[in-house]
Amino acid sequence: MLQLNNVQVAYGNIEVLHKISIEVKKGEIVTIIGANGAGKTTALRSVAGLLPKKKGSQILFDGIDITNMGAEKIVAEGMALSPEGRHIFPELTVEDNLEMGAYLRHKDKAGVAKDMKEVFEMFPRLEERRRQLGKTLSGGEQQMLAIARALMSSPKLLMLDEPSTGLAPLVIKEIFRIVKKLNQTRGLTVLLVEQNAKMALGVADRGYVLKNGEIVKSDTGENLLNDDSIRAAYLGGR
Amino acid sequence: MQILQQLIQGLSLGSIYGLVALGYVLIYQAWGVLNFAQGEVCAIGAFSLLVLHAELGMPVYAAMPVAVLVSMLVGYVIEFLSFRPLENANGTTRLIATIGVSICVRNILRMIFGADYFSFPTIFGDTPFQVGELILVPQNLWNTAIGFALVALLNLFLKKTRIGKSMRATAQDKEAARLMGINVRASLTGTFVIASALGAIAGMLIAPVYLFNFNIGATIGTKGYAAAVLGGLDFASGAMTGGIILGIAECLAVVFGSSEYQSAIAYIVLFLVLILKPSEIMSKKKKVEKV
Repeated sequence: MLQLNNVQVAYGNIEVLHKISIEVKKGEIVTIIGANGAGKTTALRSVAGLLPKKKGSQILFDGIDITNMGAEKIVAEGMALSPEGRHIFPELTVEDNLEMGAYLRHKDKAGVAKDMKEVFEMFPRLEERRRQLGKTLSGGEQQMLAIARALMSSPKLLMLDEPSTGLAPLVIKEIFRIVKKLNQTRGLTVLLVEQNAKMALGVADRGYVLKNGEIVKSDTGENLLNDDSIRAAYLGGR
Repeated sequence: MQILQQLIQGLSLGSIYGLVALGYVLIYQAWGVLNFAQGEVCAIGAFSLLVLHAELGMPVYAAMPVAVLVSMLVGYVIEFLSFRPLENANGTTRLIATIGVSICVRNILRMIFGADYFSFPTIFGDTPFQVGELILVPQNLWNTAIGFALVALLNLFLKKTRIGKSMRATAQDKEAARLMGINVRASLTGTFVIASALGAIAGMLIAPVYLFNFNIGATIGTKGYAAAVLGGLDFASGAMTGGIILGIAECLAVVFGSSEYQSAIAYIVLFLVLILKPSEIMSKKKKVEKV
């Protein structure tokens, strides 16, 4: 479904991603783990069309070359990103935030209404707060809103950037449970970037380890979880 | 009774100031810069109406929409030439560019129309009528009504329609807006052009009740700016409140002082806000939306 071939990204003269190649197959949950500053967020942002890629890079999504497509066009192809730091619209209500998520589906009113209902079933807290402004939500609720908003575009591929940052363990568990459920019941394909490697590898089918802008390892989630070097570097030792 | 008379007058002036202020606020929220050329767009609106109606003889109800369109076009050109190229420049550079645009437009108007004062054709009638002891002028009443109606309409547009919401979303977080599929470029331009239309309407409404020559943009721009700052550079309600407070303050200054003080009020307001809350002028801060 998604293929990154030799993707290179630089900020000015400093190259942050060195020819990385990643593949996400339909129906999979794939995670990219790595330390702070390894380039995980850069990878997702470049896929989403928020960053320009260097010559020679290629990103294919569902058979279409999206390497040089802008973010606002890529959404229409069926990809949604829940960005790092949530980036919900602070002065819009929860409901309006979700409506913006479905911005391009304005001709499909019935479908949007149905998805809105589903999203509220998934995140009952959001329904309770549907008329509140985004900025009045707690961190966990904002993260749920960011994911729900991404789902409102009815994506084929959902990309999540650091969904666990700053959240209580119970909330993190709940969010990962929902992601897993979306994957199992709807066949939603997920690309997940996480610092919380243990959580991420626990739900992922496969994982890539990113270090200083290079993929240094890739394997199934389970194998990576049991890999000694990975345990030492990313899972808090032993 | 004289006070009531002045309050009505103040409300009328204030609702126009509010419209001008709204133009400042819209652009400030979307672009993060105060557009000091906003007053000039008001002047363009007024002069377009003067040419279309008084010179070319178009009926006023046809001339007004055309004049609004002309001003929107001018607004688009201003955005294209001075806002877009500086999108990533620092705040001061952008601010000064808008001052440059305003000086430029003002002098073009001066070249075309000279420095003489024009008597602007009244749009809604300037024959006063009496209600009890109050003397009312139709133009002033209409100005109030139109001012409020436009603010209400704009508010409805921004809060209830998909496009309006997408403009607010863009103003709040451009990158997230892109991720939603919103065309940020078009949204920013749309906001600018709407602000220009509001300014043009304000210009047409105020020209008949004001001293009107090429310099009207500077005067009305200052009032609108003061009103916007007073309202906290916030969305619709803040701008309108600022405008009305300013309008009423000006008219009360006439009652308790002399008409000479009237034009000083806007500067006094600016002065006070700058002393008491200076941070709000230069830096774009997210604020609570009060409606």
